Amino acid sequence: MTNPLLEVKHLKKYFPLKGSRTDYLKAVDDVSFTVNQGEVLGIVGESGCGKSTMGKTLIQLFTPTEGEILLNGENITVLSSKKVRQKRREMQIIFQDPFASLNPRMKVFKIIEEPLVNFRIGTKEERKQRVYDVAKQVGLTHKQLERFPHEFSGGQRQRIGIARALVSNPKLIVADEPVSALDVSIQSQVLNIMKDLKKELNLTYIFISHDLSVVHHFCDRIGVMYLGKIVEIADKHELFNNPKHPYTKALLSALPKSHPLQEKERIVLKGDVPNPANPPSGCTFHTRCPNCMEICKVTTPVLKSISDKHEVSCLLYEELEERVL
Amino acid sequence: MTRAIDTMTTKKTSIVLQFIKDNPTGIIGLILVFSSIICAIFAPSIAPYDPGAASLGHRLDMPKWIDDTGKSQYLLGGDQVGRDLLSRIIYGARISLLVGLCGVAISLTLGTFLGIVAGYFGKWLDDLIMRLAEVQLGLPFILLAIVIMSVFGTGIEKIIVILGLTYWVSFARLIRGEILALKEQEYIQAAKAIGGTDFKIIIKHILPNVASPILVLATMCIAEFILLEASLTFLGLGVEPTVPSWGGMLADSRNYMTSAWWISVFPGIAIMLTVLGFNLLGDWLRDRLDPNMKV
Repeated sequence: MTNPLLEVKHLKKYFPLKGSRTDYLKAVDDVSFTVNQGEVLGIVGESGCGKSTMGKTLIQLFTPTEGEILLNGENITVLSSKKVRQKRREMQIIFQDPFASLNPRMKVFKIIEEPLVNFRIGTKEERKQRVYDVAKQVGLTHKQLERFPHEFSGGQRQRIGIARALVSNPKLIVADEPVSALDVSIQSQVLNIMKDLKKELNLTYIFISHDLSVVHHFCDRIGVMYLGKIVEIADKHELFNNPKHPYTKALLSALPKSHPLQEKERIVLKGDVPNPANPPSGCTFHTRCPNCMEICKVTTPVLKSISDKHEVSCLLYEELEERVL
Repeated sequence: MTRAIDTMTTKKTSIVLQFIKDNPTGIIGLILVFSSIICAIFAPSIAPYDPGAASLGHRLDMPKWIDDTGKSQYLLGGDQVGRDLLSRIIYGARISLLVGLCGVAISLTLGTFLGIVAGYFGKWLDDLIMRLAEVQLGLPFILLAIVIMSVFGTGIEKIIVILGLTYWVSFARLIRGEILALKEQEYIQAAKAIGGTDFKIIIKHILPNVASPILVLATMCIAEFILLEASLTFLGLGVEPTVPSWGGMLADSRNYMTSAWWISVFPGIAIMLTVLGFNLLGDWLRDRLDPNMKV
C-alpha cells in the first residue's frame, strides 16, 4: 500500500523580468507529480531547467505563482507564513554548495541545534542530546561540533548540512544537488550516509541532480525536466531501459558505456537550451528534437500515462494512441 | 608537540609580548584611543592647570623644554591669553570623543535599522529609504550645519544630532548592499528553511556577518566626526569659545601661527593621533573579527 506523502498539482513559478510587467521567466511551468512515503524521486535535467527552483518552491522558500503542493493531503501553499514555518519541521532541504550553506560565524553545534530552537523542541539538555545523536549518525565527533564551518572539508560540511536538515525529524527531504559540489570519492560517502539514514528514519527524498549515474544509484523513480516542465517520469528501471521521450533518450545516450564492446548510439542534440524567458511555441523541445513533426511546433503536449507508472509528455506517443483508437 | 608545551609553560608576560609583536597596529591604535579616553574621563586630575585660568603674564609662553629664559611654567606653552595649552588639550579630548562616539552611536543605530529594513524587506520600503538617502547625500553637510546652527544656535548637542542625522546614509547604504549580497547566500535561505523568523534571521545570521564592515565604518566615522567638529568649531559654528576644544584652539591660534607655532601644532597633533588611533583600531578589528582569518 502506497500513499502519497507529497502531491504537486500544476505548480508554476514565474519570475518577473526586469523592466517588464508582462514578461515572465517561467522557471517552473505547470509541473504535477506525486511522491510516495519512503520513496526517492530523482529530478534530472540540464543546468537552468528549473530543477533547483522547483525544489525550493516545494519547501516554500519561493512562493509559487500558481498550483498546489499537498503535504499529507494538506495544501501548504495557502497557509499563513506562521503555519508554513511550523510545517518546515516536516520538510527540509539539503543545499548544493556546502561552502555557502553554513553560517561562517556559528559553531557547528549551534548550526545543527538551530532548527530545534526555532521549533521549540525539547529542553536545553534534550536538544544537546539530540544534536549529539544526529551528529553521530552523520559521523561527526563531539569535538568537531565545537569548531567553525571553515575548519571542515566539503564532505564534512555537507554532512553538517544533512545533520541540520535531519535534526527536527522531517518526513520529506529535498536534496538540491547535494553531491555535485563534492569530489567523486566523497560523493559516494555522502550518498551512502543519506541512503542509510533513509532506511533508518523512513525518509522520503526528492533528489535533484544533473548526474544520471548518481540518480540511477540512488532513486526509485526519476522525473526528467526540460525548460521548467517534466517531460517524462517513470520507474528507474523503466526509464533507463525503455526511455520514451526523445530528450530522455538523448540524455541516456550520453552516459558512458559500462562495457567497451557494448553497442551504443550517441544522440547528439543540436543547439543550446532555448532562453526560458522566451520559450519556443508548441512543444518546448521541438527546436532540438530529432523526431520533430510539424504538429510539435504548434501543439503543446501534456504529461500522459502510456503504461503503468510511466508518463511522458510527447506528441509522438499521443499520435500513436489516437491511431490505435 | 614539544613546542605546544613550551608555549604553555612560558610566563604570562611573554604571551602578552608575543601578542603585542603579532598585532602592532592594533596595540598602537588601542593605546592611542585608550589614552584619549583616559584624558577625557580624568581630565580634572590629569591636567596640571585650570584650562580656563588666563594669566597675562604667561601670554604666548614657549613650551618649557625649549624656553631658555626660564620664564615659562607650561610644558606645552601658553596660548594667547596665557592659559596652559596642555591642560586645554586634555580637556579638549572630552568634546572630541563626545562628538565622535555619540554621533556615531546615533548614525549607526539609525543607519543600521534603515539599512536592514531596506535591504531585507526590500520592495517599496527599499525605494523610499534609498531615495531619502540620496536626498540627504545631495545636501552639503557644512551648509546644513550652518543653516541649523543659525536657526537653533550653537552647541555640542546640536553638532552631535546633525552629524548623526546626516551620516546615517553611509551606514544604511553599506548595510543594504551587504544584505543584498548576503540574502543570496544559501545559509540565509537555510535559516529560513529551518524555521527561522525574519527577526531571528536578521539578529543571528545577518547582523554578525555584516558586523565587521559596520565596525570599520564606525571607527572611520568617529575619526571623521572628530575632524568635522574641529572644522565646525574652527568656523565658529561649534562649541562655545570658552569650552576648550581642539578645533576651537586651532581656530584661535591661526593669527599667531608665525610667532607662536606651538598653539596650533599641539592641538593639531592631538587630533591627528586620536584619529589615527581610531583608524588603526578599525583596521585591526576588521581582521580580528573575520573567523576565516583566525589561525
